[in-house]
Amino acid sequence: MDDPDVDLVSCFYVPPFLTSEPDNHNHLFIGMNSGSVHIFDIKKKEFSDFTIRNLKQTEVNVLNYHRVSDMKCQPEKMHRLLIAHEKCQVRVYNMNK
Amino acid sequence: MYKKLKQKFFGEAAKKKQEIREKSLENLNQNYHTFRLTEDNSKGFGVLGGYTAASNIDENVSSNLAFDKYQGLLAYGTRSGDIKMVSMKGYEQEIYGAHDGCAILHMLFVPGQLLLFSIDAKNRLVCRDLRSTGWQTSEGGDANLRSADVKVAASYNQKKLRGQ
Repeated sequence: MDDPDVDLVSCFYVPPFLTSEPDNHNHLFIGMNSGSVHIFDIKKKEFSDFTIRNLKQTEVNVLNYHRVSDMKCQPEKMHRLLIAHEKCQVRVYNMNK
Repeated sequence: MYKKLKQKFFGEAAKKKQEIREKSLENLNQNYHTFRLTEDNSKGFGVLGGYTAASNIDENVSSNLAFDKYQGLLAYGTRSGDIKMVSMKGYEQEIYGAHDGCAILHMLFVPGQLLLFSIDAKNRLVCRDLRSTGWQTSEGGDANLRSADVKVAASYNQKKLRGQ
């Protein structure tokens, strides 16, 4: 993760484990103050290569996302991640696509 | 005459009902424990309002709580970097120096997996596997959780540090 002087963890979330095992993706989501989301593999105990970056960092000058205030997965389709940012922006990520 | 009798009878009945209500409220107040985690009341009554009398972590409780409904475990961290876990069965566990004196900001149980994640002010993520430990009470003396199985470095460079 980033240096705490630059960026700080604002929230993190683990989706509940389902009885149907293939739907469990075993990942921990860590939301940052900058708006980006880091992903940690629980089984391998290491950070995933895939991170959801803030649009500011990818230099797409469309929206400036703010602090991640909360994250949730859809209970039936766990690959769909809902990320709520401050100031009313919500992103839905489909992680299998 | 009838009206006066009616008022007397129903007035007394209403009074009795009110008394019963007040008594029940008193009983409720007696059985009710507040869970305000301030430094002042934690010193006097234990951390959880009198439930944890044997507690040694009585200060610097930060505003993070982790709860596993499947295992019945509640954990919280402190600003001094300690962790305390309370089981629904009455067991307690304290981990001193869990984050090397750094304030714990976030804690989370993986539901049903006995994994406890905690993040401190230096952005260090620590994963604790509670399955590899003997779960004992804090009064048992030798109740050491095996400390962090994995520590991930603060800088995001995919470092993997196994063990302490």
